[in-house]
Amino acid sequence: MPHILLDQVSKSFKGATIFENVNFAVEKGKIYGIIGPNGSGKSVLFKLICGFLFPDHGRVIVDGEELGVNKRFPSDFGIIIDRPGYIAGKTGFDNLKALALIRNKISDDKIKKTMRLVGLNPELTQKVKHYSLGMKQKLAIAQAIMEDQQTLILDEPFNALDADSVENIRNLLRKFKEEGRTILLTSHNQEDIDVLCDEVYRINRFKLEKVKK
Amino acid sequence: MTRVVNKWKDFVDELLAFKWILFGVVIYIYGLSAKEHMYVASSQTKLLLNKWDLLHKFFGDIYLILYFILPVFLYRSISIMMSDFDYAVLIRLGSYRSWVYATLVRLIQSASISIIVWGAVSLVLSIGAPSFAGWSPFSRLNASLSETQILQKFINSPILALVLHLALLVFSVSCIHLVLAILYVKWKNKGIVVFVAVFIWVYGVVSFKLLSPHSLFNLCHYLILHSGAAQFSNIWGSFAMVIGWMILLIWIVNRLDLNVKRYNGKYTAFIVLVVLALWSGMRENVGQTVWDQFLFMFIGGSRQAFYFKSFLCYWVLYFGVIYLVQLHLQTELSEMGYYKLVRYQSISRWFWAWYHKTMLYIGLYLFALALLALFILSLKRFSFDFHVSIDRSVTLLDMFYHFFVNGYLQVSFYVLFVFLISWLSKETFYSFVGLAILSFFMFPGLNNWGIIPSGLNSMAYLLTNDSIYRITIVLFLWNVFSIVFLLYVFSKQDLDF
Amino acid sequence: MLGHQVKVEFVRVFTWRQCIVWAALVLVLPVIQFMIIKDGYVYYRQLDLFLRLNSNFVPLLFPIIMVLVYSISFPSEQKNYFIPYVRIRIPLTTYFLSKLIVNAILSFLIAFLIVFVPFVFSMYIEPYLGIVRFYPTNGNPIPYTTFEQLLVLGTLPYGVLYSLWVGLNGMMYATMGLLLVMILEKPFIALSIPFVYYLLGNFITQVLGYDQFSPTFTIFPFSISQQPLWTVFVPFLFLCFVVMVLMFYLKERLHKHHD
Repeated sequence: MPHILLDQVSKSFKGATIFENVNFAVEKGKIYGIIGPNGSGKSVLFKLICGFLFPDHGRVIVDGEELGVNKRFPSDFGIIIDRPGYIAGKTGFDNLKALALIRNKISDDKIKKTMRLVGLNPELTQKVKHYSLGMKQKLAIAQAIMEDQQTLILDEPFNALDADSVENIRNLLRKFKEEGRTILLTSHNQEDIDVLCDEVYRINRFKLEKVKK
Repeated sequence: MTRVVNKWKDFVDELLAFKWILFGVVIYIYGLSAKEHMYVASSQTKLLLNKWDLLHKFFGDIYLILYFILPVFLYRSISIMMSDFDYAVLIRLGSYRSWVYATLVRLIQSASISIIVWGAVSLVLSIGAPSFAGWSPFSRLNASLSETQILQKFINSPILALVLHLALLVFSVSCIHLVLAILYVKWKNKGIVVFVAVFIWVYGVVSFKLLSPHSLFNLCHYLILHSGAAQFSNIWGSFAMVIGWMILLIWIVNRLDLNVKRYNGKYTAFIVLVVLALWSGMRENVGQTVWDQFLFMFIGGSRQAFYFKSFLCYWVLYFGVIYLVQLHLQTELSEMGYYKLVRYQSISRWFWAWYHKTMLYIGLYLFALALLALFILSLKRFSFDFHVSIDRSVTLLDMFYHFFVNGYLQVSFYVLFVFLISWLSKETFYSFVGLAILSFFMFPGLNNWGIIPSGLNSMAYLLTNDSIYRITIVLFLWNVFSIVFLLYVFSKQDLDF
Repeated sequence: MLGHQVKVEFVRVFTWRQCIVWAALVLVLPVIQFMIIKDGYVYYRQLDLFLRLNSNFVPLLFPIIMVLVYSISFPSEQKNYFIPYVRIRIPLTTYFLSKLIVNAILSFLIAFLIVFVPFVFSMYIEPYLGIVRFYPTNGNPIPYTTFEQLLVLGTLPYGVLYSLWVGLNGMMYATMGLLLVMILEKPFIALSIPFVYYLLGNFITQVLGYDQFSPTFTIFPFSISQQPLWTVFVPFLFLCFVVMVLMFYLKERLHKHHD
């Protein structure tokens, strides 16, 4: 049984057709790259997989459970979707803590460790509203991985990152793959896709087409 | 077990300390003189007194309490604080809050000992007086020659009067201790605390000597039951004031350890407006009892009776708290994003986490509102008789039921209403507009069947032919409908932030 | 540049959708009010109908209506990071001033029409339709209201002058709303403050027994007895003062706020 399955999924979004009868299966322990032109529906695909959007037709099944029927959002998913979201008036650590408290699975030390892992200083008293775009992106990555989420849905994770940070995050994602985690990501940088992904899919004419590497 | 035994051992050791012997001697000497005055008054009026008159005299004498008891307790309060404010103690207690409560416990312990000694000396002094048999003929005299002559007008049982008087004294002294302890934690300056303690004592004496006996600011009303009873025309007025202060002080104590950097003005402003709204309701004398005024404070409007000022008060008291909810909701909705939702696993779970906390606060708000209203009402000389004089068909049970049950359901609906509109429109301001439009239906002629859930918790409905239980059913159904609709929207709607 | 920007703003705001919203703001509430009051009340004069049409809904919702005219569209520019892209094209003061001018003109017009349209209907159209029944006074005193002192100038001048007064007040509340949106980062608070100010003004003056100075009764004085005309200027001048303070504050904070 695939980890994530899109079964005959069709979706129109804000008046435009995005997908028509898409079938897509994701196996555990691999890195998948999704590419396509601007506005082709990469974010919509990820939102469908996470349960934020419902397909007009078809089903989205995660670990055997249909989203919108058995449950709304899949378990143990770390996500980066759209712009990084944060509470402007709090520090980076406080932002992550606010999210971590919801499930209460990890300690403050783990949060700090994760922040250092992505290249952020957990002791920084600067409020997130004053962060640069790259720092906000790192914060978004930190929240996606801090609870050891086994499936990562990352929409443009390397946006606004400097070269060293990009290499750092790539190494991190490779390490996660070796641990058996499943990763779906998008990027406009072909090198990210080539270097990381086991399988690559292109969104073309409302369908997902597998690209030969 | 060992801890309990040790505590009792400490108590007995304390009891046998020399200072309490001295305490007892002073009371004995003063008591002798007071006893003589009582016998003179009794013989002049040719009415027999009994032990209760003497006990109430020894325990409730204004001069004894102001010039001796109060300074003793103030001194004891300061000495406990000074001895216990040590970092080795604080680190073990874990917080300033625990330290304050620990010192309070010690003070109450001391107060208990002083009452035991006081009681023993008083009993000794009352040897020879006629035995306890309820209020004596002397106490039933319509005069103010003794404490009992005032107390017997308000309470039938002399022993209960004594217990209540001691309770009031202990509460008041505890409040004073809390004030001093808070000041000490804040400034850690012995001079300030001693100054304030002396100031309190001087104020007590000055307020007794210079202020009118009916002045609200006379400290004696809150230390001595018969003084408070004369002031408020009931025995509960003093308690209401003291307990009100105590709640406020406890709230402050509980925040002592918090690193509160920013002062939140909106809650203070809201409290001021609520007090103003309640106070404006109190100014209209519409009945004889406190409950008449309580009803009028929350009268709001019904389809048959509408007053613009009451409508404005309703807006402040109920829609005002919903405004605070909307402020919080706006923050919650703007910060909520995919990251938060995916951790809650479902929107309903996220909603419930927010909603149940909000409704808990609403329940507490209603409770605090009722207490505050009663507190404000106790300042005026309304009778505390347990009935509603403006409409005898309305019972107190009806009133409380309508205030709490229907009030809770109504406010719950307002919360769901603003949430729904904010969620669907993605703009909290439209929920504000919606609420303003909903308030229209409080105007006469617009809600003739009483099915629109707007202002149905107004107390005006108690004075009409409407059944409060029908109102409960209507509000309950609206709440259920709103929740069902909300869950439907959650399950069907795409989420796009 | 300012004149051009004001023209641009007018062109931008005059869409069919917006015109329908404005028409609704002007007509819906008075129509609903008319349906409720046309029966069941005793009217001695045509003017009484006009006075009752301006009771209940419009006085209660007045600041909210004013904010819905134009100010409500500004938060979306702030939210979607539009302002920084504007300021490289035009000085921010010019841009904001153009918005304030457009807001003032539109809100003035809408507030004017909210009152003037019912006035025209009550005084000049309804007599031909004969929907409302009028009664002789039979010696009962006619309750005169504030502004009826202007009837000596004639009925139409009274209607125009009174509508201008409401328009002026509407403009001030709308300006307050827009200024607050420009100053604060929280649109909900900014847009709700004019209404909260209005409501609290009513509440405090009522509680203290100064009904004649309450914001509602100085703009829609139909629930209290006639007061001297000078009383209406007391809350109005206070409102002007508040708006001026906000303007100065915005001027000081303008660039710092949008850095």
